Amino acid sequence: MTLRELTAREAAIEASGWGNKVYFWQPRNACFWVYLLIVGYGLWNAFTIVNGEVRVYGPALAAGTVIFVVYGSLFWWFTTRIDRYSRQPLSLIVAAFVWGGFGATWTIALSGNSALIDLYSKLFGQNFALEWGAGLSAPFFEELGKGSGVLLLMFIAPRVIRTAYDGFIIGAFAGTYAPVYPLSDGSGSRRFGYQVSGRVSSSKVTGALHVTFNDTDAAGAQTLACDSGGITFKATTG
Amino acid sequence: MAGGYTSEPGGYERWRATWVPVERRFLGLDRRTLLPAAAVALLFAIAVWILPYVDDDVRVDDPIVAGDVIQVGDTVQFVPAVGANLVRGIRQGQAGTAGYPSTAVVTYEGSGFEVIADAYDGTPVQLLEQIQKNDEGLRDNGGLRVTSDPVTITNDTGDEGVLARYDGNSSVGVIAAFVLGGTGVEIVVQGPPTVDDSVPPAVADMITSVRRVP
Repeated sequence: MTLRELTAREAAIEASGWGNKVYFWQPRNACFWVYLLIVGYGLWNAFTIVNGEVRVYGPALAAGTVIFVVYGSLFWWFTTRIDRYSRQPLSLIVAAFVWGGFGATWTIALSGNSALIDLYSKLFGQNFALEWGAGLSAPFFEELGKGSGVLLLMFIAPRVIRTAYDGFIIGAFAGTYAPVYPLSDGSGSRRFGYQVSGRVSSSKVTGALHVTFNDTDAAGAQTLACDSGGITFKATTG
Repeated sequence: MAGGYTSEPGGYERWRATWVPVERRFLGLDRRTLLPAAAVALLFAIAVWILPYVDDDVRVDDPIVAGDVIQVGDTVQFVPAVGANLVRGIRQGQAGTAGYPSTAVVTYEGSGFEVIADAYDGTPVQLLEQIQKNDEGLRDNGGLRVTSDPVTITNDTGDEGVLARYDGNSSVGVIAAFVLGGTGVEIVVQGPPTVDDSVPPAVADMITSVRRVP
């Protein structure tokens, strides 16, 4: 290998952020505090809701969890498989997943979607809310919620998330939140049956869409960040 | 704050990665992280505080007039009292492509009247027992409990159901259950403790008007 090739390889490795570590404890990083606040709020919200219902709907909650652990594992495996070029550190992947599980969903989507669909119902009628409520609330709160986690992680780990493909992978993991979120769903006496039958059928469609939308979304955000003056690189150099 | 320099290679790397120069700080925080953090904090504020506040503040004014029938799901309907306010639910004949929701709520003279329909293959007594059991297990339903023995009631089309007192920490009322052709129907009437202890005739009429869609 010539010197020129070696130099080019080193430059490529440097540009990709390959091998760089993530240090999460960054008290001077505002994104770090916002990440903690929102994930903490989501964890508390999840605990409160599940704790309120677990004595009645325990079997349904357990069934939902098992189904989505299996389902989420498949997406985890798939997303890991496509992470071929500069493998993301496990801690960063876990951080993205935790954001998707508690920050984007139990904090932002659960509250924002409910309020917005209710408002649609009041302002435009029940029919409009039933037909368009989900479609006109998810893009705001679910997709922005997941995308905002990627934005925070871009500024928490700028030495690692450097390319659009990095954003693509982190975004995909933030969208693989399914094992946790469905616990908030399902109702009534048939809850167990709902978890088993309804979730299996709906997840086949929506799960793939969540991951796909979110990684595309995140790749776009990362590309934008790189194109608009390389803020991620600047943040790295200190 | 961001980790001091140590002689260990790992410590130096950590310090190098997280150190923020003084001239780049604002209130001790890295200026470059303020804008994205503020954007996400704004999304949080809109989703968790602002929008729910606006939603609570918007009141629904959809009065029931003579002839209105509310349909709940595919198979159940009821006739609200004239002057009641439709909070949630769709009048019969006005559903869109999504059909009728399985829950309807009207308010009448300070009380809420809710009808919930779902598939059920037991008897009305069993349905009420299941509701009672669920309420005793729930920790976050305002302390609602069935507080009397059930009595048998009959709706306008002759189907038998059960009715019992249903009181919470800050509300009183009744609960009724019917099973209409494989559909379980739960009817909850709740008002503040200051309302009259007996069920007003108009509310009793609403309960017995719950029936199968012809």
